[in-house]
Amino acid sequence: MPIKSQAASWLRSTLERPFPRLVAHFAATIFEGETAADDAEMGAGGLLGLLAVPGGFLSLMLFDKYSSLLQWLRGVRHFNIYTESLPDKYFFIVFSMAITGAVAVLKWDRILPGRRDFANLAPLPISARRIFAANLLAILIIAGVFAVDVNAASVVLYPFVVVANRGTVGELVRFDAVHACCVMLASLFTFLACFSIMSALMALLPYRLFRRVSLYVRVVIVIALVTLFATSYAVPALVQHLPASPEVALLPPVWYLALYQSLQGHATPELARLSPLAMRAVLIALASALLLSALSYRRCFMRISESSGGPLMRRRAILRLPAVFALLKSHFQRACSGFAIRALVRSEKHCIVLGGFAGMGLVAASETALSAFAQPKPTIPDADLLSIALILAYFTICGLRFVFEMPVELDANWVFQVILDPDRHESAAAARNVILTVIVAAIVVPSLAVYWMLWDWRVAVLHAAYLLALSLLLTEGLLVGFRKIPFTCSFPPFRNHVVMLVVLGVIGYSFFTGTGSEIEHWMMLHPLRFLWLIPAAAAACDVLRRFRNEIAPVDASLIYRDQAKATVTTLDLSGN
Amino acid sequence: MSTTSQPAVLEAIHLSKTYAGRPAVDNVSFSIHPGEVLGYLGPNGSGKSTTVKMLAGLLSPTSGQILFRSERISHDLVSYKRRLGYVPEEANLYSFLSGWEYLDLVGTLRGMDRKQLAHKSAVMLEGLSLYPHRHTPISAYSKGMRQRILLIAALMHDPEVVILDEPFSGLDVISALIIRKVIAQLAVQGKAIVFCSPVLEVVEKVCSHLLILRRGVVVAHGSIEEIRSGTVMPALEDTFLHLTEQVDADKVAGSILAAIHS
Repeated sequence: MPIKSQAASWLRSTLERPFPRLVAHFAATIFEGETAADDAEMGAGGLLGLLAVPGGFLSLMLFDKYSSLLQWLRGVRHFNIYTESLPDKYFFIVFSMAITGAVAVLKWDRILPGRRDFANLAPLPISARRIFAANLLAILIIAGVFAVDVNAASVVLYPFVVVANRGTVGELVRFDAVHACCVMLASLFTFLACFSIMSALMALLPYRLFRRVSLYVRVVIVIALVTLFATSYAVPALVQHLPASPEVALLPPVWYLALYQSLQGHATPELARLSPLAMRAVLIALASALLLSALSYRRCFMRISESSGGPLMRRRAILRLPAVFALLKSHFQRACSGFAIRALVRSEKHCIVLGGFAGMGLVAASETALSAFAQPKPTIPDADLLSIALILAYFTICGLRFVFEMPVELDANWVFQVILDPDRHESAAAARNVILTVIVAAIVVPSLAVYWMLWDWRVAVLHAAYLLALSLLLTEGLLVGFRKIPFTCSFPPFRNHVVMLVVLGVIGYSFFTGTGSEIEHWMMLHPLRFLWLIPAAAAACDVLRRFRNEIAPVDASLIYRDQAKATVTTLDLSGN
Repeated sequence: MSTTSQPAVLEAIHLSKTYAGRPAVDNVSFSIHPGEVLGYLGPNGSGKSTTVKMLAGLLSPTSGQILFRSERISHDLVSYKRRLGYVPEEANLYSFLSGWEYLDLVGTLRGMDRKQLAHKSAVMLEGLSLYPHRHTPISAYSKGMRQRILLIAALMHDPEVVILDEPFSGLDVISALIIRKVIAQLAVQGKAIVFCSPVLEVVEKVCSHLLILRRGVVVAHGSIEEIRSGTVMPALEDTFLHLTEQVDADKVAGSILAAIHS
């Protein structure tokens, strides 16, 4: 028998044995969706494919920087690839950590065996130790797969982009090996660290408290990852002068950058001293993951049968809706706005994604605030100071608009289909109510208080009014053509044009926060100029209304399943 | 309780539904008059749920029509839905809502008055022993509790037509008894009820009329007495097995036992 078929036969027989089968089951569980109809989840292939793309894309974008011809045309004659590539190396490390961390946070509930696993596996003649060992092995395999997948494209392309024009094949191979080692270790560290945090919470807290705290911890991790990502631009410069800013050495990505530079033999003495931390961190994360997962497994999985309602249960679910909702005359708006608020508050997945957007907003707003408050306080806030609330509002509104598209318990949307008239709906109004409720409660009112404290009531009121007006316009703009009840429609096909959406988002950000705050500052200098806001807002509303009316007759019905438009459409001109 | 002299409330006329060319329901016709409880029976895959979804307005028939008070439901689907109470086969509810919040959502979507909604919800929850659990998230409810919430949601707006797809699934004895009495009373009040259930004893106790489906085709339709007399079989179970040409249960049980011991 040829070696290839022998190996295939061995692999088949191995996978058919109970323990490897159990490992494969746990690995598959981590990837799968909550329900068959949960389109927000994608299979292993889809997820791995999606995670692999950005690394390659980013590597290719760096061709411009390292092209020797372009360097020569720019007049650069001496270009040290090892030191000049430091910001890119840091970026790739942070990128791999952020992506792996995000996956770990999103798959948080599936990492350890839960109630369903208990129901299916406990009656079988498999020891608890064996279940634990299989689960742990599956986690380690998945951690390795994520580490390889997230970085695979950059491992192949990035060293080639950097060394191709300048170095030898030996140099390329060495660069490749060091890059692969460092980014994958960074990924591994992040995954194991997230897993350790989860296991520690599970081991220490009672079930109910764990579920509640778990959500906040996940949101905090997402915000921390976003913050880490935001350090990509500032930290590489600081790393080169470490003694001047020793706090930078506390950031985990810096340890892996230190290892990177050390292995390439281009580390500064400070970086060389930091490099052992990279390996130590992985080992500590691995050891704590093993220990804490054993503890949490013993405490939680083994006692699932003793708990009545499962770990996700709350005893009472009472959420007082904003009083203003009771004033809504339309039953549709009242029911759907209330439903959307409850879904938003109670769905962990949506809270985490919204937390990611809020995290980006917080990072951007904090950077602006730090630089703006470093200057002496002006009598009238300048554009930077005025942009802080606008930044937060922009990210929150975009985040809410994004999460509205993510379904919650799609199988249950039949109740809307049975009751509602699809042709007479107020879905955009219901979505607007939710967005404005969140914006007013979380941003407008706090900013009113802060600006009142720092300046005076006039500044605070004018700023709050302007912020509300701009938020309303942005909301209206984002809801043009919206014909879904939030959270009740299958995941839209926007994965197909995600790049275009990101570009539009960046342009929108710069206009909303940059131009928006400049205009506000101009009006703030002479408050009577705020009167211009009324005709400007009316004109903008009119444009949006016309635009909406133009597209409304084409597709106005309420939808529950969003489908990508066919690339090829049959016109059926034969008439048969 | 049936008043066949009155015009039919709901009629299915030559109803057919095909999926990828394969007929799931083929030329099904029946009518329900005020006060009738039509038991809809058939083995798995016979087209019961497809018919029920068409009757509930969730699925369009490939051919044929459904009439509500002699009007095609497709002409004014929303008005028909206002008069319809529907309990689906699967108890798919928004599990992050509490029972009270779910009823509030459904009642508000149906345009019910808030005070009336709160009063009806409270009374019906109390009647079905759910009031103490009204603020518990549905995710913590048992299957029977979810089923009871579905029943309340389907009935609280006082519908003229009630479609119940396996409503007793998971219900405890007391709740099932209460619901059976409620259905009987609703029929007395002149409601038209479609009742799907695989449990023949329940169908026998609840329904006045029966429709038996096999592979999408109606094989028997009439009052329970008419169907029994048509097959000369005293038990409904025997009649059902005879009409739907089900397999020999003893023979299948024997082969399963043989496989267990092999």
